[in-house]
Amino acid sequence: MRLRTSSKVIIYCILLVHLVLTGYPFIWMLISSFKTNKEYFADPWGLPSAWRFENYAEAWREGIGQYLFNSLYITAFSVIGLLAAAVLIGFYLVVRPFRGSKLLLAMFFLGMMIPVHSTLVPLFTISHNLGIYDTFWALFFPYIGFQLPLATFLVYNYFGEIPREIEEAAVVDGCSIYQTFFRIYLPLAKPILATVTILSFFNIMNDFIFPLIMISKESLRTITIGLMMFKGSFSANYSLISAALVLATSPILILYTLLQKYIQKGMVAGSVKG
Amino acid sequence: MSKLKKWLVSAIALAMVVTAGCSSSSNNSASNASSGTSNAGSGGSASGAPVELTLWSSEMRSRDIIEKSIEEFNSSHEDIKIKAEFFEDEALKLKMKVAISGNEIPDLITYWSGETFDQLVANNMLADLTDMLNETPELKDNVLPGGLETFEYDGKYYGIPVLFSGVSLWYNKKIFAENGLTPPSTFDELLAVVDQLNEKKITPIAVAGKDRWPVLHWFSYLAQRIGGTEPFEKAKNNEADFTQESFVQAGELLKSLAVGHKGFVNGFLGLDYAAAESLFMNEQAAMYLQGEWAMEAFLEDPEFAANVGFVAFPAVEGGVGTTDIFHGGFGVGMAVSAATNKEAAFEALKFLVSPEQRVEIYEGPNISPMIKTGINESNMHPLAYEYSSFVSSNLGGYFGYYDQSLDAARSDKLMNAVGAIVGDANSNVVEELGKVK
Repeated sequence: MRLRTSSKVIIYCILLVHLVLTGYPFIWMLISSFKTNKEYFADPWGLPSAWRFENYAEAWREGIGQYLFNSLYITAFSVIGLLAAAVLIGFYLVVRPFRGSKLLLAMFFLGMMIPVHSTLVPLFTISHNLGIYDTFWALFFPYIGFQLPLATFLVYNYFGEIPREIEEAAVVDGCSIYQTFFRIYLPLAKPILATVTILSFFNIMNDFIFPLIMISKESLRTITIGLMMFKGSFSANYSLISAALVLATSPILILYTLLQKYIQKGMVAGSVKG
Repeated sequence: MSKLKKWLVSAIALAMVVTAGCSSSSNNSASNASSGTSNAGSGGSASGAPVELTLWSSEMRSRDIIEKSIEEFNSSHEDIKIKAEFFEDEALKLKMKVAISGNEIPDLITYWSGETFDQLVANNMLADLTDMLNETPELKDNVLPGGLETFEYDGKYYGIPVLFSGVSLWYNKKIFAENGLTPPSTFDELLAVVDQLNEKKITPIAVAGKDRWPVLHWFSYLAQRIGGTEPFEKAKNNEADFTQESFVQAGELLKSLAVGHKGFVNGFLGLDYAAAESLFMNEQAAMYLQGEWAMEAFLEDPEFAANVGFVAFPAVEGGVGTTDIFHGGFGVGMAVSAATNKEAAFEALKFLVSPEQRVEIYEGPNISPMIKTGINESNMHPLAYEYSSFVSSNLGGYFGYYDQSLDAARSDKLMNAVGAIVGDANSNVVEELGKVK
């Protein structure tokens, strides 16, 4: 279908407005990050008098590098754990339904409705009692727990769409349940795993409340907490904060650009049961 | 069925054994550790592991200095190790809330006086420091009058103040000199200065209206200068409301300053703290009402700081309040958890609050809550020294921040009422203040 030039122009105009609305704040942040704090307030819209790359060096020295690394590795391991759990649960519930498996599934879905904040105090107490407070594990388990309902839901529906005949054929050919999983279902699950990865990666990476409550020590603070520490009680060096923000958003931006096509697909995949 | 039951019972039994084992073992280690402290002098105590104390501190900006003291403490005390963690204000408040509900507060805290501190004491989560203070008169007697009382509950002390804060009127000496003005000592003089500045198209006063509390400072200072501290005490205890004469008068004066004389910068209700501060620091506004913490930014620009002067908040003609009463108080104190190894924690506390360890903090943009501060003029910017000595030599008393003394609901309403008074020319002062209930 070919669009007429006039309607094309209108569409491009709308997109252009949208681009300005969403893109300009980022550009503004980028420009502000090169200013001095005084310039930031004196001339918020103009270009800096001198491009201060020192802001970036200073932001990095203040610990952005460490925070970013913490965020990335906590997120990466949590996502790996989440994928392993979700794919196994989804597979078993689809392939070997047992009495009460529907109930179990329903309980997973109920988990989606629990607000995170209502669980903070119990989780804090549990992590203290288990002795994992202020360690990597105090974030790892809650993250998997809270992302699991959605992930299970997606994987379960996705596996449900795969014709049962494939599994039957595998059994006839002599596959054990492990072989069925590793040779048939897991390779087929790649698209849905990509979706789960993207969704949960951004959720975990952007999370603020768990690292705040479960972590105290400097060496485990994530980027969301680290950015907050840039703002002092009564003073805030906004140009330095802007530089830190640019550094903090860039990995997400890069990831988003690379995975763009999966994100679009992922939004609809698994959401409709065929 | 019976098989399942058996499993369940044994599982529960196992769980109980495990938890009981855990708690008893932790008790053991704590008592071992405390005996370790007392035996430290004789050497070779039974348990070699040092007591670990965690400190949550709100003093982000003095972080480097405190970390240095802690390092010194840790290297001179083999049996105690302090681990300090510093948090931004809002982050710490949230963490503390969860920690209180979870009953797991850190061994040492540096926290604000006020509602959360009350809650900590009410829940018996803090250690009583009275005996320790009585044993160390050199610490107890060195605190400025009123300091320990801030953290006193039912005759027992639960905290030791580490900072004093006081609000004053800062002004730009250069702007004042260029226009032949003298800093105001009464409210009428202030209005005259404002009018003269406005005539010359200079913004008289920068104020962060968006944050609301800076405007409240103006209101509470005026109310104190007019009627003293008593009306607020009454209002706080619900014996009277905010329509008392002195509050209404303060509201009217504030309104005439903000609306009638256009004393505040244009659009001040939309300015946040940093924006208001930068107006003053970019020499676009002549005056600025703020606490000693504002000096932090001033001192970063020594050239500008040399141009900064200050006066006590002006008196109001016919008012009872005198200018030696500062708005502020002993806002931050250190406390010890009730559940920790007290002997070790007291030792650490005494070390960390001592003037020798904190002197560098007080030589910066902070005011010591101690009588003998040990600050050395030669290490300080003249502005910081002047202000420190100004406060300690003039301090006749202080009155607390209204927004922190009141409960959250009324504090919010009061800030809204004050905002309406200065923001809306047609607002009725009595009506707005009457809404604070």
